[in-house]
Amino acid sequence: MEDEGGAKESWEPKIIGFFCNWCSYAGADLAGTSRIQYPTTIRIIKVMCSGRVNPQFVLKAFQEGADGVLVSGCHPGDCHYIEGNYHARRKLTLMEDLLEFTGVDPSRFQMSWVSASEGQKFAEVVTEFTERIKKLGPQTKLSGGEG
Amino acid sequence: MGTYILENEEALKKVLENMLRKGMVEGVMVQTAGESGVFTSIITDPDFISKTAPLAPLFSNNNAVFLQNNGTRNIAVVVKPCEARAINELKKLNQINTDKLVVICADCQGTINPRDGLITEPLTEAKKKELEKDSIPIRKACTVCEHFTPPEVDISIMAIGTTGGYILATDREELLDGLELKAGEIPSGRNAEVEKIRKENLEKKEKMVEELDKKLGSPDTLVEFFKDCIRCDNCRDMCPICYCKQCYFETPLGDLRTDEMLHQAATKGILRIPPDILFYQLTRNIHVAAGCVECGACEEVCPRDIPLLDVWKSITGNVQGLFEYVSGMKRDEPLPLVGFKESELEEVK
Repeated sequence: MEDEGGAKESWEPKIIGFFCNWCSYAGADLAGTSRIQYPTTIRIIKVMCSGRVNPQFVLKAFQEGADGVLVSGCHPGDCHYIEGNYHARRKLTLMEDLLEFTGVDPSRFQMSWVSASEGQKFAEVVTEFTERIKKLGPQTKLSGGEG
Repeated sequence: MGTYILENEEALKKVLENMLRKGMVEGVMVQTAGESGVFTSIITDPDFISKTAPLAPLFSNNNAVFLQNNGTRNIAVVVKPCEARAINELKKLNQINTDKLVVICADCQGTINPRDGLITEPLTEAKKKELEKDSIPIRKACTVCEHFTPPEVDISIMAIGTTGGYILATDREELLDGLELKAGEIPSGRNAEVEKIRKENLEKKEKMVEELDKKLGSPDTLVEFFKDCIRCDNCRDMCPICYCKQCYFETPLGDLRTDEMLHQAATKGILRIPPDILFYQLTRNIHVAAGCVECGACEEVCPRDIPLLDVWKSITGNVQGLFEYVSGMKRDEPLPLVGFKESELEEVK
């Protein structure tokens, strides 16, 4: 374990992003090809649809030491599979309740809609989220070896 | 809807016997007072009906578990409201064919775990006082129960509000063919009395959730809460709503062998055995919260006496509250996590 006090200066949050193939991942790609700067704190995992994101993924990410989890998909109405993001929205809203219950600050979890043309928005979302997680500090509730 | 008077429990047995004799159903699932105690049984011989105790206030597990994937043959089942709700919920999840069931459900005024005492007569306020004197506890789940009257079922039996005896209500009058039942009316004071009990129980529930929240307020208490879990899977197996044919925790990802455990341990330097107890419980919470009927079967079968019901009361209340849904009250209602509305939860940007 790193010494939290000593490591504070250089501590960079680890954020796991679950991005949908059709909109948000393409949006992140656009940010890259357009040379828009965004924090390197995010590790993106591509899923075919935000509806694919199982709440278990989020829990597991926290358990494995993620400091924040970001789920992103197409805007409502724009889902490649017509309604996957609506299902994601319902399913993942429950996450907030569950996280509160587990003692993890629910604001460590975020959902956002990013389309394929929104490279700039992607960069903004990641920047804002990183700032928020930096203020909250490392997530230790679920990442200990005892659970 | 037809409403009829049943003078006593015997009259209810007559209804069951009639269904068997007339061949409306091939069997009746009902509690029976046998030589080895009171147990749930399936009766096919009408002569055995006299041995039954359909309204015995006993609960050791939720019998809806055993009705999953029912076949093509008709069966009548006498169940408690929480079991009836589980049946309705499973119907919506396509796990039970209610067309092949005659669900008979009576008002429930609390149940007792058979290991605490074998009581065959239905509970009344007077009887409850007697139990208190003998220090036989009513199950915790029942003392905080909000839905103790029959949900949507084929035959409902009402006890609350009547002056002795029961009122039988049904939409399927063909099930009573050949019986001469006196028509009756749902007592006018029933609703008020039901609300009174509900209010009392709700207060107790709120206190319970409040105390749990207090307990879980400080860091790492959830790990502490589940620390005795041995992953025996009893809570999962005896949960009527946790119905998956293949559970994640029986796949290679969830049922770790030593190689994977070593791998996991290596990332943190230490891994608790059995692994993932918190992940296990939280996964169950995610999967079941929207359909939980709060019967307390999980807590009843937990060999380590983890107060699981407290957790479910808290989570179920939040989740079902969010979608304004009460699980199992109706048979045809969209499930909260299957349906969606285009304009809702608009705080996601």
